Amino acid sequence: MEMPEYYEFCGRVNLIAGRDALEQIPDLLASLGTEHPRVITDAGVARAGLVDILLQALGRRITARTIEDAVPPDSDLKTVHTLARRYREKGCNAIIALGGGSVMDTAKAVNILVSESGQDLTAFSGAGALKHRLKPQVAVPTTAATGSEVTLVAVIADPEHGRKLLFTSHFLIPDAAVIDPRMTLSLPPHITAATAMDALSHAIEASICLARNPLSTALAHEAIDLIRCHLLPVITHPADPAGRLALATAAALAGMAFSNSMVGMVHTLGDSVGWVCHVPHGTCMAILLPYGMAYNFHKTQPLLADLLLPLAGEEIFARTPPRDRAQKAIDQVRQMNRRLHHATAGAHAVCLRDVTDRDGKPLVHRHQLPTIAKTALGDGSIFYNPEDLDYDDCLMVLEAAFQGDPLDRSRIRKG
Amino acid sequence: MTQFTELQPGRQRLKRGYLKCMLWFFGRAVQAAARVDPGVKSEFAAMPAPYTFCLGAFPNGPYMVMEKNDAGHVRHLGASFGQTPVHLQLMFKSLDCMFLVFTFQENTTTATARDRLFVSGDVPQACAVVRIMDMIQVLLLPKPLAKLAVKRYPAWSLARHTLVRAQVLFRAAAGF
Amino acid sequence: MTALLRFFSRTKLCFGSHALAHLPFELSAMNGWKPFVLTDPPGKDARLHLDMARAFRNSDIPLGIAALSDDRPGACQEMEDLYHLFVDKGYDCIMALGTGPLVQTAKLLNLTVCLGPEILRSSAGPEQLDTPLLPMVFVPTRPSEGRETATKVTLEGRTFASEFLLPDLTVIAPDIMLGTPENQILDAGLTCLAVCGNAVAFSGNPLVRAHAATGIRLVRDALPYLVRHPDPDEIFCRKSRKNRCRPLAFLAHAAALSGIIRANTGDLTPRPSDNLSGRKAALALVKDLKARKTLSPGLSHLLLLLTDPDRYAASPGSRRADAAILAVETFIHDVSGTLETEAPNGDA
Repeated sequence: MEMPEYYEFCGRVNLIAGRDALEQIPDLLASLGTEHPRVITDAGVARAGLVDILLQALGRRITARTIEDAVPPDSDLKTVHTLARRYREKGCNAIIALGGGSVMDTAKAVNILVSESGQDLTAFSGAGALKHRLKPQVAVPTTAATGSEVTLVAVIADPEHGRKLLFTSHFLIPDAAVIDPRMTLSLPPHITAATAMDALSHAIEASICLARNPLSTALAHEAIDLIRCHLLPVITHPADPAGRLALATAAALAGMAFSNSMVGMVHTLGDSVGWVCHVPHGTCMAILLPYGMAYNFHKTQPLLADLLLPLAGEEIFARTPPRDRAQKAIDQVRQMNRRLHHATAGAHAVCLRDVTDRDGKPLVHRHQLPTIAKTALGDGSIFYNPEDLDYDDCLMVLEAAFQGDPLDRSRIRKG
Repeated sequence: MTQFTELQPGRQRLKRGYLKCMLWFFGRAVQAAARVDPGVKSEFAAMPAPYTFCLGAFPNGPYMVMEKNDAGHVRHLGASFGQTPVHLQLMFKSLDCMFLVFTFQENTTTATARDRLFVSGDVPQACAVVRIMDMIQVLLLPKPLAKLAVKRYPAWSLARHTLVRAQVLFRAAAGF
Repeated sequence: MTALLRFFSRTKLCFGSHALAHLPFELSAMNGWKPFVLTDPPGKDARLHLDMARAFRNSDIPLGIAALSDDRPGACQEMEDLYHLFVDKGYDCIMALGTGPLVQTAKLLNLTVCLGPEILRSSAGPEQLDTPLLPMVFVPTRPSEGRETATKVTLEGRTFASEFLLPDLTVIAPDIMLGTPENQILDAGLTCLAVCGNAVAFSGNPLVRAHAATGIRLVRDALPYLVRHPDPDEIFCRKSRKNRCRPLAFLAHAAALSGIIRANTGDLTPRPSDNLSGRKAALALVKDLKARKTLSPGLSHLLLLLTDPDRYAASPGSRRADAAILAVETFIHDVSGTLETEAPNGDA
């Protein structure tokens, strides 16, 4: 087994996943010594009726003091400060975050302010600034993607200064993550596909990037296995709670894996495509994932070969000669994207030029690629990628992903 | 019976001294490269001004503090912050972790991957600082050592590898 | 997947070279600025507290070192003494430098400091605790059976249970691993194999399986080497013994994982007996695997973990379960010399 010279692993979250898992929250909150939580969510989640399901599950024992559904798609500083003020006014003593990555990050940031009695969130940015346990926080994810419910990171935008603030501390890991299939049942097929591919990208990058470690890799392989078994069936049978539960659990596993081993160029480029062109995160990840694997092929071949078993299953793995396994793993991801493209009637894009908004207008234009490449150089995940990347490398990969052409591996400069 | 003693851990004077020297020369090399090397120049040009960053070891240093002032000039401020507000801190988790990097047992990327380095401040600027550090190492070190220090040895022009390197070394030694 | 899946491990793991150098930062992140270090006689003889002190150089963090001796007073008296040392000098976190009973002492000290010394004298009082305790760090110095990462501790017949009894941090540093007798190494490795093998074969919880898979690989890589390269002098494993230190650290790592697995598989059937250890536990695993071959969802995965991808791929799908059991038997045979297939009975 490949063992790093040094590694750290922390998965300090009480993970509960299953049917009717929401009904465990009252006991969880009681064990944390609290009964007046505040629910933080966003308007979309509230409209989908998920808050009502949560409140029903809380029952009479727990009274949610307030329900805030004003979290924007990109968590920002102003929202955090406003929500923290309201938390204090209402005398709450815990937070339930109900939503996707943005809601989770906002809730973590609000928790920093209310627990540290701070007025300015920027004072707590960076690593290691938090020294105390925060107020109890329960995370209930409504997308099977980001894994934020188990990570130690929060990212908050500061639009005034045009920057993103990063907060890292083990105290940011929620006390509990509750995964209930009812929370993801209503996700439409193309979003289910994109979010699951996002989780897949977390899992694959966690097991091939530089900070990989055996525990993260084992968790990632379990996550990939669940996604392989359940993604396509859920797209065709969206109301299948067992499949939904498996995908949401896979996202949490992948989140725990990448939280401890970080991600690489798929996120370096994907985050930048999202930032510049406002493309949904999962879509970027799905498109760029095979390119990231191909770019790092020469440095990660044995690791990619190991991925074939969870990606393709026992029989394909056994049939494939050892020397072909790495390439086959990349082919499997491409094939998965193509199958999702067909299963969602084309809504799941397989190249950047095919990504459109609701009106069918393209979101990514070729002339934006240089800007995306430049933005990518400021993404911290670039350092965890096995092979070095500069502006020209980013542009080369983006151009291939724009057209949907396989990456020409002879053009990769090897370090 | 339980034996009890209280230990007041001391200082690693040799390691500390070595690192102070390395950081001192490294800081002067950054200042010099910001004037003559096109890659370092363009990284600093993209940084906001004024901007101060430091590289150091938790919890008591040593440190290397760099500043880009309002006029866009890059200066090595030495080993202490003084009253200067620091916008970005790149900190090794201990002096030993820093020693591993400055003795080329680990490169910066490996140290980051092994959780030996943490960042307080803007991530994009931290990326720029790490790229600057990599370029400085290529400029200062002979190729076999530099290959250990960076992820991919760059394919620069001959002039950059020779003339610019000579200028950086001379300016770093002379301190301008 | 199981109907309601639960997993919790509050212990952060730090493994590898220069791990001790990270301690000042890690402690400060938990608001620990004045650690109280407990060490046992082997640790004291090997002067490991000096290694610890070296890790804190440049940090200005003072260390209180309490070296427990073989000639120990009663648990309550010892705890009372430690409590006064801890409180009078204002320490704020606990580090257990050693394995086994030392870690139980550290846990009890944490309880005594946080709940007051009256818990030592009273026979009543809370035994299921929900309040957070002081930061605690576990630094193993040799492989064990992994009971350090458990949620319970006993004081003169009273059992206290709390998730907060789990160490906040487990630091596994190969350079401070001590020489360990072969039978202890074998016991530790095979107990971990039994716990992890059972979890891979029978647990439907992917988090448990992932931890167990890592544990098995660690045992697979470390145990045969340690058994084939015995340490006749059992002297302390320092520089000259560097080759043994890393595999010993692998086993200590596997032990920490098996403790986490035990804490999360309370309802698993079959579950490895707490009363069996070493070869008896490993043989009990073989027996369980054979008896419940058709009910084991992850049995074939054991083949992959104990051998390699090529042997796994070469084995026909329908025979993988049998091949996996054979791989477990072969492994036990290889490391322990003889294979007894009869049912184990009695305590280890």
